[in-house]
Amino acid sequence: MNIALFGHLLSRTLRGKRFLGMSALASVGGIAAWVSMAGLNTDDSVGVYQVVTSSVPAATLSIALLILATATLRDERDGGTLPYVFATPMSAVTFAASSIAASLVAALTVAMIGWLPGWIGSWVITGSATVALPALALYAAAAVGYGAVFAPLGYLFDRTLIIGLAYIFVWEGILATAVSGIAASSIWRIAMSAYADLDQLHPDALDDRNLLEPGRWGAAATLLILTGLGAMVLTWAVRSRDAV
Amino acid sequence: MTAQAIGLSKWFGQKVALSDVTVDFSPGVTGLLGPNGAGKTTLLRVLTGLQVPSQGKVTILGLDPRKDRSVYERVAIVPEDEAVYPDLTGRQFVALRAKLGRCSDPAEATERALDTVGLSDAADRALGGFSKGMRQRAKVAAALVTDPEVLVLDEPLNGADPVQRAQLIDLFVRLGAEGRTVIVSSHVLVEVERMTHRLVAMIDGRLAAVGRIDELRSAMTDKPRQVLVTADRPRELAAALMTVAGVEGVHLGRTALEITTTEPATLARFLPGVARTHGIRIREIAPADESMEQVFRYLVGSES
Repeated sequence: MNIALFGHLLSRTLRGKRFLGMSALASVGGIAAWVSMAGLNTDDSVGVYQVVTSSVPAATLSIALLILATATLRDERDGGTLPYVFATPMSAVTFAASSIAASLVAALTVAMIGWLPGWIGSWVITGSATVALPALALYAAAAVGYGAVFAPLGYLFDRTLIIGLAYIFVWEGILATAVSGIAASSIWRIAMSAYADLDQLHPDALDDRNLLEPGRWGAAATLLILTGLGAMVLTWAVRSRDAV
Repeated sequence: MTAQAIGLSKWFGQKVALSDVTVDFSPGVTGLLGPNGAGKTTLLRVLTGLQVPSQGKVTILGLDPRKDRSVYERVAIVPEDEAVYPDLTGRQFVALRAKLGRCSDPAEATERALDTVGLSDAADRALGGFSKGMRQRAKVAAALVTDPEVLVLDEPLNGADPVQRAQLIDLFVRLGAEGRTVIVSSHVLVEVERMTHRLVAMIDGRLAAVGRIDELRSAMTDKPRQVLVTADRPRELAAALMTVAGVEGVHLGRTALEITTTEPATLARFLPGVARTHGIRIREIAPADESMEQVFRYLVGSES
């Protein structure tokens, strides 16, 4: 990995208003959980936290991660600055690995920020700091999955947001819910499977979803493979597709 | 030869941007000339590996930039886009390129490059606050920071004021004289002419001409040549020259004649004798159509 490229892309991705906006968007699930828990007893609060956390971030966190991950390289292309980072004597593999790493770290940073309000809220309301800890796996797994898949899209396509939104809402939101075979390709469900493996989730949190079986280790392995595939696709793109 | 394109074509969907271009570049400054949309930028992008050729082959310093990215240690690009990172300072921008370009001492290389383009004093200001000309200089500094053997500049003088243009032109000439291959694209003929007499002209995605300006002009045998003759009695000389074979017309000025001829060699042979016969004193003879603009106008005309 090239540290200079990684640092550059990470700082570009997490800069200014976009960082604030995406952090706010990623926090919607946690804030919604906090608000929903208000006035409930401890047992109910835990259940509500799990239900909200397993549903609201599926849209809000996913979109925030989509925007961040695709921006890692898309910003450089759209801004006309890609030649400055592309025309450098690092191998295509190094370029791709550094870019994917920047995308993952940016996604993880915002995911962690998004998780915080729910964690603080659950701590304040239930008095326990551990209620929201398993959800950290959900947020982190989603960050890794979306970060690895969407970063190459940002290099390959002009209309990455449309493609990404179609994946999130049509593929994951509708098709994966209706067709169990498609569920295996849903990053959100992969992340949810890790969450479900780490916590005894409220039945409503699992309701109406083709929840995957892999569990925490299966999810980790799947995400590792996805990250590798993302790097391979980006390496291929760097070698074979126009940079500008 | 340090950079070469062989049978290079590039198309985007139905649009053909480059068509079967074969050209090579050697050390020194070469001007890549053509009107907007001629394919200059596409040629430079494909040549430097930013775009993949649809057909044909590219080598730069003997390597295919798409397959061997180590070539970027020795090749630098100044893209046409005005884009820079507006929040980075000039120094940060150049230092970034130094780090990405594997400079052994990025800090030293950065200062040297900034000094070369005369940006040291403004280097701690954000690029977003730079004038267009200063941004161009920052881009040139970012390219020079790796001390490249091949420097590819796409419209590098855009936005620069006359003083900055003169400084950049001097810099490119100096870099070429140092033995680097400097390829400069421009649609402003006068600028290219001040940098070099070596020309690659493109029109409609095709190569229109390659060579020195005077060579190109001489090769255009189908075009009448124009010769400027300064004499003490231009009117009499004009009348006398009308009988010389090949002379198609004489335009009479106050002290000079602009002679249009299809046989410049015949004119050169007869002119001294005609002047001597009529007792006319010739002060100066000079070609009137070997400027890059004139040559390019011919090229565009012949292509269209």
